[in-house]
Amino acid sequence: MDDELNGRLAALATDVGASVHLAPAGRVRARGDRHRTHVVAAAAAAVVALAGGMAAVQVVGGGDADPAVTPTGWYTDIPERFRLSHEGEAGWQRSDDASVSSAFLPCGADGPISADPTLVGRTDARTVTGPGRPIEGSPPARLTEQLLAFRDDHAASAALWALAQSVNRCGWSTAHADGGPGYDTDVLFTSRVVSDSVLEEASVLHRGNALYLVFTESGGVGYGGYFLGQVDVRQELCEVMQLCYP
Amino acid sequence: MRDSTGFDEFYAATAPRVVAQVYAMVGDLGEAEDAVQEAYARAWQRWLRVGGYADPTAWVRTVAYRIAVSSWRRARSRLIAHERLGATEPAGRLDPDTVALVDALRRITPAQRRAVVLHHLVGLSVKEIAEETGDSLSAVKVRLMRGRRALAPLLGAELVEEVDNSGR
Repeated sequence: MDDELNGRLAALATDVGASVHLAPAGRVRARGDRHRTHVVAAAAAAVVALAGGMAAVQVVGGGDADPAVTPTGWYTDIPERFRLSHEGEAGWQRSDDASVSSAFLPCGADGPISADPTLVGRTDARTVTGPGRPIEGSPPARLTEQLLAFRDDHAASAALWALAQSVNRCGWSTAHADGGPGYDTDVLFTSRVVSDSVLEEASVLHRGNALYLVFTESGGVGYGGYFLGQVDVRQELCEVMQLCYP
Repeated sequence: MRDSTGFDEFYAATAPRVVAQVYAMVGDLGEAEDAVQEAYARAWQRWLRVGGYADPTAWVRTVAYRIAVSSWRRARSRLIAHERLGATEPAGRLDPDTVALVDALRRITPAQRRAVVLHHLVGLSVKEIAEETGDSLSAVKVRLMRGRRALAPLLGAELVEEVDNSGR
């Protein structure tokens, strides 16, 4: 069996190696440089803020508070100049209701876990809802973006992990963090197929005392726009709320 | 200063092999290609560090696997494939024996599949698999044994159980 398996897998490797379609190395490096630009820009903004006398905060992933963080640095009110990625676009509605329900409740209001864990310790919220940008010819998506501010990073972390537990209880794909070393690890991505033509997806990014949620209902094909949104919002979190990834 | 020549040589020498490994683990060639390229892009971001590792390929393979099994990406890919009303593999691109082998691998659990591929294709020892996957030695041994046992009838192969207590 072992020889058979070794031989067939070796043949697979040869076959795939001859058929594989890969971008040239230069293009792969350029892709990496684009990622790097976002991280460097965020770090630079943090340095500028620190020089201006503001308390800069660095947050690392891991699911709990960073003991190195200075609690006095938290913005518990979302600054007016903060912009969600779709904010201000045509067809999008904004709400500043600080007690609004979480954009993503995995079990719904009638499920086994109906309480909204994001209300605990929450100090502010901003929500925008509107039509998503379709990708790859997919039907339009309905998308909600939400930034929630908490009294501190412990409260934000607790809310994220409570959502993750609900995900695992209520029929969503297993919650886990995406990305390799050096990326935010406190990111919940999950999805569920509601019907043959409807897919629901959610992402929750935790950084410091803030959670950035995106909930999407798309007509048949994954939306994916929240990756773009996260790029924008990560930069806003750093530049406006001093929540920077090192 | 990152060494682009060194990175390019590393990419050219190892990427096709890593695609084959990730393909065998996840069962979707397009997904494997995309995930592997993203993993190399991330390796380039931190090439000063990753390039100094004893085995940068292991880092890339681990990151590519994590990317490929991301629930969001898999759900999205599945639905895109469904909408296209076709198989996920480009027709005629791979040898039928390769497709049949990957079909067989798809029928065992993801954890067993990863262990089997790392051992029989990548050539890692049980101890090295445990280090790469974060599992215990005993868990890796059980997954290898059960994976081989489940694969044997699918491949028409005779099963010879091996109890590996050495970590190799």
